Amino acid sequence: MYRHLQTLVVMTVASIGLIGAARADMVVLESTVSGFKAGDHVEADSIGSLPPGTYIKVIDQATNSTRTFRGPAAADIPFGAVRGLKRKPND
Amino acid sequence: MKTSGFHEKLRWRYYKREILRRDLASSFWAAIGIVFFVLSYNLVHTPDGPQHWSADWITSLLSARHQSQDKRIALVYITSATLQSLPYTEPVDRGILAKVVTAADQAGAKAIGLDFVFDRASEPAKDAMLSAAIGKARVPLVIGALDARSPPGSANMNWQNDFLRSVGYPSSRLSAGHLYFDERRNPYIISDHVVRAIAPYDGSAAYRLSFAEAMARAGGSPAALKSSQISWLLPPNDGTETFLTLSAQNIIDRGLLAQADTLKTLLGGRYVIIGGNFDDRDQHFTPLSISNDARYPGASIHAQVLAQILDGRATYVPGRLAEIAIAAAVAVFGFWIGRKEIANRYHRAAEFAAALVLILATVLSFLAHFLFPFTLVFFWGMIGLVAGHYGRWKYT
Repeated sequence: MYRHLQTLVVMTVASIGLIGAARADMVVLESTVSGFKAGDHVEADSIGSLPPGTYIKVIDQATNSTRTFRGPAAADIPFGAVRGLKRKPND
Repeated sequence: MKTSGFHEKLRWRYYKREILRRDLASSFWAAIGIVFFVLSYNLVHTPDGPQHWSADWITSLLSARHQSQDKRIALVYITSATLQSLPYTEPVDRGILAKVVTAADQAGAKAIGLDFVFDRASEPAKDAMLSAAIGKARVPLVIGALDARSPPGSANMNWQNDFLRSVGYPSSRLSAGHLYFDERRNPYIISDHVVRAIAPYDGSAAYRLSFAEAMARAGGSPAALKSSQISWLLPPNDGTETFLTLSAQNIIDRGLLAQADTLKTLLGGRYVIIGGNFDDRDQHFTPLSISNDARYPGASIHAQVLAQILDGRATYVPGRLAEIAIAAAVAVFGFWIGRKEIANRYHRAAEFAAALVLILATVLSFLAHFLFPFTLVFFWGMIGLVAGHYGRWKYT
């Protein structure tokens, strides 16, 4: 009984450790969000919802794949704020 | 007898007037049809015509989607952040390009593609660095090239050709592919500037193969491009990006991923496309932009075409003659239904026809990768139906 319990506890701890290690295997490559900088190790859950117009690009080292977490689209750019059509101060 | 003859004459006159009225009604509807036809083919982004929006929606919803990120292709972007310490961003610093090429080469890429235009000199020392890096590379390399498809005077072809010769083009290790996409142009309205296809080869251009086709060949793939229409890949189900996408600053000098082992893991055995990702150039709308107006870097579009070739995928669209034939056939069919007006269930017939067309469009797109001209069929079917219904000759 004791051995079974011991095995169960060891397996549980190891699983949690493995899952934790796998989840924390994402490294921030680029970020426009304060609090996250290149080189940080992060979990998807810790990123949460991002401010509008921001992103965090990470590499998942377990699968060698990249993903980008984005906040919602930034508010509509008012007409005239497009590059090359900047409004004059008095407009 | 006289009265009867008189009545017969009146009836005949009335009959002739009705025939004339019927002919006028038919002519009117025919004229309306012709006007709509001309409008739909000249003012609504033709020759694909008014079904662009439906074809783009179908593409953005029903295109192929992998379970996880593509393992064969990697994109390395030179960005504004990569060049932030430099005094200029165009041409892209060739010293940095040389470092990226060397990094991808040492990582054991399957083939390296440079999605840049080399049509003018930059700093001589850096030009020489890039030439040396290309010359020393052990893996097959593809260089983006321009030809007569560019407007006259827009590129210095002599410099480009000299550069290509100076780095050993053509050879078994070094090839070139054109960088042109195909956008629908219309002399009557402004183009929607959406990239849906690779530019066709017209026989006079210097580079027959597109950049992605040249990449596929350089990597040893026997597959060929089956359709010039781009068959898009949607982002994978697991939330990752379609292709492994890295910024150049992360893989050169003291970048986060610059260690040799890391680079071998990330880029080894992959087709590595090196391109620019700048706000002010080479950004394009694609059918995938339909819901969010996102622009995609040219390099990512080349990656899509390369994936299409490697997967053997194709997307087919009807040609202009086929479209006209389909439109005519559907209009005639609609007209016939409208005239028949089966048990006066005109609206029911219209609803049934619309549902049928929608199902047909979805099934053909999903199973046969054929972008069924939904709007065109719907539009012309409706015109035929309405014309048939209201143009009926009621005299008996």
